[in-house]
Amino acid sequence: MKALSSLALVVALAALAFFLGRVEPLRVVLGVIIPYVAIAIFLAGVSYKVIVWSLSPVPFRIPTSCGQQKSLSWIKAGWLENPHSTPGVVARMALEVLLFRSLFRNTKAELREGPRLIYGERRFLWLGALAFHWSFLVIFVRHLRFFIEPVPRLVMVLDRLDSFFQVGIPLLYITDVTIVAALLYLLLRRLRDPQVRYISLFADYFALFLILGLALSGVWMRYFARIDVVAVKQLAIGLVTFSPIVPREVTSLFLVHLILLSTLLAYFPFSKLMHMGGIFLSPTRNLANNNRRKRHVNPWDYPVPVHPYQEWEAEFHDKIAAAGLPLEK
Amino acid sequence: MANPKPEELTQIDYQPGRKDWMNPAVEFRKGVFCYSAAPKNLRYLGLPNPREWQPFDKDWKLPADWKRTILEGMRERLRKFRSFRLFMDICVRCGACADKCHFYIGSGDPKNMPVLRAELIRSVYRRYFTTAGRVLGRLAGARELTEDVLKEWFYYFYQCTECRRCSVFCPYGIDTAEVTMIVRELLNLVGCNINWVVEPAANCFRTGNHLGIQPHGFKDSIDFAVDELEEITGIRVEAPINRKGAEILFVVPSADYFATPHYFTLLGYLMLLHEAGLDYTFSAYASEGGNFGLFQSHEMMKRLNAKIYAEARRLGVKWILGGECGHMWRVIHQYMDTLNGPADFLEVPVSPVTGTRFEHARSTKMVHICEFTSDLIRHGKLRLDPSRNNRWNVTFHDSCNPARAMGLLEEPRYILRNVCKNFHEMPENTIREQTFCCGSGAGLGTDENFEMRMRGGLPRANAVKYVRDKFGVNLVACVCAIDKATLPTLFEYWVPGMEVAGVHELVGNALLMKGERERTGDLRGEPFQEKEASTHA
Amino acid sequence: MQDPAARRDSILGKWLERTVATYPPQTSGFLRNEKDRFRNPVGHTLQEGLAALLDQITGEMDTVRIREALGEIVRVRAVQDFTPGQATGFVFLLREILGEELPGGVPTAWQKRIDETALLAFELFVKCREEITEIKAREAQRSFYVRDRMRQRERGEGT
Repeated sequence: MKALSSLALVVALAALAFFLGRVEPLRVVLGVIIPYVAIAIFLAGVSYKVIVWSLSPVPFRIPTSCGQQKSLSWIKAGWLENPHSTPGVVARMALEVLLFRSLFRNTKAELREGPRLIYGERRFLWLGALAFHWSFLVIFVRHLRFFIEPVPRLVMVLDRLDSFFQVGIPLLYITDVTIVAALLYLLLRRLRDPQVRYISLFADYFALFLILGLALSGVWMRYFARIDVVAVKQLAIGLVTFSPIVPREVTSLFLVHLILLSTLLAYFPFSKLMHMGGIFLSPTRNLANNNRRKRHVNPWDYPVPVHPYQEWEAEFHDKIAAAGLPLEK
Repeated sequence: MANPKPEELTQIDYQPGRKDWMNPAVEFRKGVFCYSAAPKNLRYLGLPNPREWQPFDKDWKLPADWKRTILEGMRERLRKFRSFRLFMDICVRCGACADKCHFYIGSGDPKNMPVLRAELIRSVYRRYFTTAGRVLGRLAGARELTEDVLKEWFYYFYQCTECRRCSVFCPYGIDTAEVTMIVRELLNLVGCNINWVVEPAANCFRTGNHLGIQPHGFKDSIDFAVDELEEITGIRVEAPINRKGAEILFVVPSADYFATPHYFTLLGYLMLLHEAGLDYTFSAYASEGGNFGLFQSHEMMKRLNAKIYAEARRLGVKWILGGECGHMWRVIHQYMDTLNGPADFLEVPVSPVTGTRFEHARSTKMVHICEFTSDLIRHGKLRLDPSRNNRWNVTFHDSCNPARAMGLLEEPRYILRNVCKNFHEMPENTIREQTFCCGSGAGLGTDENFEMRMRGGLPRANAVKYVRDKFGVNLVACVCAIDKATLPTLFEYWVPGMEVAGVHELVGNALLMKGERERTGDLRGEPFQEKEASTHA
Repeated sequence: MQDPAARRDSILGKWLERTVATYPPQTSGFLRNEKDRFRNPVGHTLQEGLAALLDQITGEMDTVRIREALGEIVRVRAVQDFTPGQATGFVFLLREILGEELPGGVPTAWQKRIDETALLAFELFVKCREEITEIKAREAQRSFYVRDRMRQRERGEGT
């Protein structure tokens, strides 16, 4: 139900863009105004969220230790899984952000029985997540060729690598395949695994369908509709140079792609997609486990009622004396 | 199932019909929840809404403005804890944590999946603190805060042992322990707390320890241990209390001098500290290392913890040594210095025996006894006869907090390898940072909560049973007072015949003391087996 | 008698499936599919236990083995959210599954064995509950060990 309604919403958005994109006066709205608004919301929203997060204090140093602490010199400390210094933290965070270290831990199992396939499912979550995120990043960078003239070397190199197999005309991008496959896997997993289906919200499906729509519309334009790339580049450069135009050659199909992207951008700051920024700030991961070595200060620390020794001694005075323990008074 | 027969009809009833988790539905069945805190304990601590009530009552006698109190409390904590705000915002519900919780594994209740436990409050967060939730409501995964939701919080957040296992597997490090701590704080604001947490806290605040043992009782227990030790070893050890001018303050969990098998660990400490010739003192005022404040609120944790530094200052010691206890070490390692430091009146801990400077504790100035002992062994300062532990075939249970909130993994293992001959690890995905909780931590170890504890402890017991069957293991060693109290119970149910001991009990068994009488039995009074001359220094 | 060996996997599969169906639907998949015995002790106990029970009921009917396998399963279900009938009722599921799987009907001897096993399951369940009471009492005793020892000594009872 949640899945269907979020699918319906994405389809409706796409259809709306497709039909409104054929109405001449509205093309400026779809191709210029909405993208600008979406980018503004994205930038403002994401900065706001990140600022709120980073301004909120970390009263205690609470890293999750996943390895041996640094204690005695002759015990090998787990500098990566339980970092005690900044280089260790940086390395741990890099592994988390770039390779999803913790998610990979999921696959480590011993003494398993029965068919391997079931065990494999766990590896697939890590693999699917990794394939999706990396493909998305590569596709994003590839898209810079539309926005920058002359196209930077890095983008061209990446472009060539991505179409390494030299299949088809136009050349097939590997990431186009992997992102769609990964998204379908993540979607299928959400629908089929009863545990994950139970915890899934409308928003979880919506994000998946939205990005899937974005990817599929891109794929359709490149391989099947073969849209006018020059016109698209004109529009893109127009947007970034603040002299926007919507060339006549830009089709309605492209506007669908653009509207889905705009939706994603505008939706981003209000959604779980903010995990992209949040992961860097997670106090169980980005702090060194040097708790006893270096004092951590709580900025909002306040005095609390305690039971001081004097009161304690006064209350139990006679008993302490009878037991022969030393007394202050 | 076509043509149902009578027995099939009853079978169909077994199928739980919970559909959408958003509809709160909790049934307080006997055996799966903890009783409410007695009003006298709340009054003693000055906590809100003291009253007679029980979770299974229909009317929880909440204050009239309870909802506002909770929401204000949430607002305040969202501002104060980045962890809380972040963990409310960034979960993507990937499900990696789902089957990592021992309560989920043992109960099958889907609301015990860490992600869903957190969603119970996340849904309220969305409703009152996010635009999408305010506007879209249920569609955005938001729900109203109602009395039923509050009851559900009580049920499920007093069904989390704050063991942090889920946070090991979460790609963003979301720690349910942190969420549980905040929700318990919120529940405390309206007087929904459990006696097994509040009473020890009240006791500790008043007398200095969870059990409410007064100074003379504390002295009697320690003296009793000294007497017994003399009978066993022929040596009369010193165990001073509240002695000014000692070099080291020694703080242990109170169960060590009151319950079994903790008591044998205490005997082990006394022998070790005597043999090492340590100039130390106990304190009757700071006679508790544990801190049930941790299971209630950050404020209560600070109130109880204050005694340790205060007493170290009063007695004029140089540094502090801490006994075997899990949650105590979470507080000492991750909180104490921040809460009640700086401990600038103490010195960086140095072992008077080996000269080792415990640099890793240079700020907090408190050392774990396993760190201290393994350093002694490493420097050859102890004479040990591991064959004295021959009747044991040992495995080591990593307690949640020393493992996942500290990283004390190798020190106890190093000690065990030196004090006993038969040692076998449990399977890899059940130890170290992936260790399974005893199922009774965070204040849930009461007997009225027995069934829930057995469910939560099943994964741990199951791995223990495996090494029993495979290697003949008959003793689980650990460094946690809650483990020592609850694992024997757990094993009586799941792995009959399995014993539990503190690491320092085994040290005490193996330790050859200067001038000791010919020993024939271990600290429990059982005769040694196959005594061989395999002494090594 | 019919040869159930050929249909063993199918019978066992059904029995397991219907037994895990007594857990919340979000969990039954996990219990059935997660093969790592340390991650899934409940499912593992059911898988092993039901297999042993099936083999005994359709084979030797070795009461020691029956008691052992049944004990493990009942022990788990005795502390979960089940009434006594629900905790032990899984035994009867076997009769209906055998009925479906064996075209010739379920032999009377096996039916009787299933009844006996179900009765034993109930007995073991009651035993588990009694054990719980005793275990609780011993736990309380352990928590006052030192005090009790001190009193014993005062009374001159020694150790």
